[in-house]
Amino acid sequence: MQQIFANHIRIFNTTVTTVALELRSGSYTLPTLRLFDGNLDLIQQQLKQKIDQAPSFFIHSPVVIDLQEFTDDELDFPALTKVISSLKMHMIGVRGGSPELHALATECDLAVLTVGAARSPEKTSVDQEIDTSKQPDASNVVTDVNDDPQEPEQPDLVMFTSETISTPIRSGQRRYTRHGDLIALAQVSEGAELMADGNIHIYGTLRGRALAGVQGDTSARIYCQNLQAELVAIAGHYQVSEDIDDDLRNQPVQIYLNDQTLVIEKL
Amino acid sequence: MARTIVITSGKGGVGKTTTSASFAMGLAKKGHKTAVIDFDVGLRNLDLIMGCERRVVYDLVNVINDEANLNQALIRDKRCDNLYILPASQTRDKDALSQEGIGKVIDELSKDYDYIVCDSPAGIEKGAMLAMYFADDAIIVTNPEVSSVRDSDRMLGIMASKSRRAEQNDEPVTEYLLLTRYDPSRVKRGDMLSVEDVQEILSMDLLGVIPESQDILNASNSGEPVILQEKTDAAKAYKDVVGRYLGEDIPQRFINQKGFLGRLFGG
Repeated sequence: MQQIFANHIRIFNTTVTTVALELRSGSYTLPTLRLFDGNLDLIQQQLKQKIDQAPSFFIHSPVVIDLQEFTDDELDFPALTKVISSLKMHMIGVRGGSPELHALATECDLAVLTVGAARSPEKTSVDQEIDTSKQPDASNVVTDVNDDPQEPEQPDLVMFTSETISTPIRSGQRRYTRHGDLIALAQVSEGAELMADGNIHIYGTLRGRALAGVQGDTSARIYCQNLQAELVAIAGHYQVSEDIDDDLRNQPVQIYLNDQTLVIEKL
Repeated sequence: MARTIVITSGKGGVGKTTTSASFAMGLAKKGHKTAVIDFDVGLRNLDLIMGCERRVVYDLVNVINDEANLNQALIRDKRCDNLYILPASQTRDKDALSQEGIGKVIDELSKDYDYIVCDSPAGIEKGAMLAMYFADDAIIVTNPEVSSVRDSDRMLGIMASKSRRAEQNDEPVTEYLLLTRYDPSRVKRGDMLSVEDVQEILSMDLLGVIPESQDILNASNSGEPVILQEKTDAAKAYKDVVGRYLGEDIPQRFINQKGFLGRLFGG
């Protein structure tokens, strides 16, 4: 994942007194696709496999192409853009790689994002005013989420948002809360799926699946009033219904990770 | 403005068409002008259950394609002047239905009718989606067994996100649970889920219970909605359901097994 910072800039129209628009700073976490090879067929096939594991994560998601490990000086960006958009994702820019690649990317209207080093606020022209108080003072954060959920690097700065759902979550429905906790006030039916980067709280009966810490947060927990789950997981460590102790069924429980072991405990 | 009610279930063979026929007849008998639409294009059945199969000239698809107007296609019931049937087409498939076309039909019926009953096909494909799309109320027909309950749950989830009311952020569709083919003696033996079990899994209010009975099969074969065979338990149960839907306070019955005296006196 990559963080992008934009400066907070107000642009005034010099002749008219009303403010036409405002540029504000925002920080976003974006999926980053690290390319090792330029073979488009392979990219298409392997990316599709990844997406199929969690289609709702990626649909219409922007994506940054990381070229740090890419050794060629040539890449067919128009064709790559087509491959990515055929999988319902939007390629918005590249990072890393050679200046030649950057030139090719720029030709295709892709942004080139800086890697690593701290970014100094750029000087702006006279009719722009920088609101310096809103500038991020930390160095540009660049982190990648590994494919292996066991060894993640957490982004240093993310907006924490939790989500509360008050209606029953029915069979076939999926809810995912990015960067936060998911709180379900009613039941979660068999065949429904809850996922959150943070904790999951269920104040009804859990009959479906609950996956907490899906980006690898091993301190995430699941709390539920009545455990009848098909599957529970924290940071990729899971247990299916069959393995859950009979004593714990229909009980209020909390579920957490203790040194790579999933613990289910009565509340 | 008419109230549009969808009779749906997800699973096939649970009693949607039987319920549509008896429920529509019950509303009409109470003096409400009612239209019942068969959405099962390609597997037309409602006309048989209603006993009007020999009077079908035009059908729903003809009306959608402007090959006939609504009044030409509507069949007036011979037993009740307030009831009209709009049959499905047997020679076409569900692709012949369009959201726009159905919307037009429902809008037009809304002007003259009090209630529009939509008999949904099984499954969650186009026919079922269109049958529920315009609904204000939904009667979820469920048999007391696990697969039917799960399919009902799925249907409820779809309705909560894909109906017109959901898409336009209106008040959600009002959901009613109707348990059909209920057999108290099999519940007692543990062969069948109980009313409480089903209510607990679906967390919904119960509109009624229709007991399993040979009378329903006989009524279907003779082309008469079972609600008209007044001496049968099924007719009494459907009358209760119509009354409760219209806001009458009627206690639940047919949930417990009849005792010896009950069987003697048919109470």
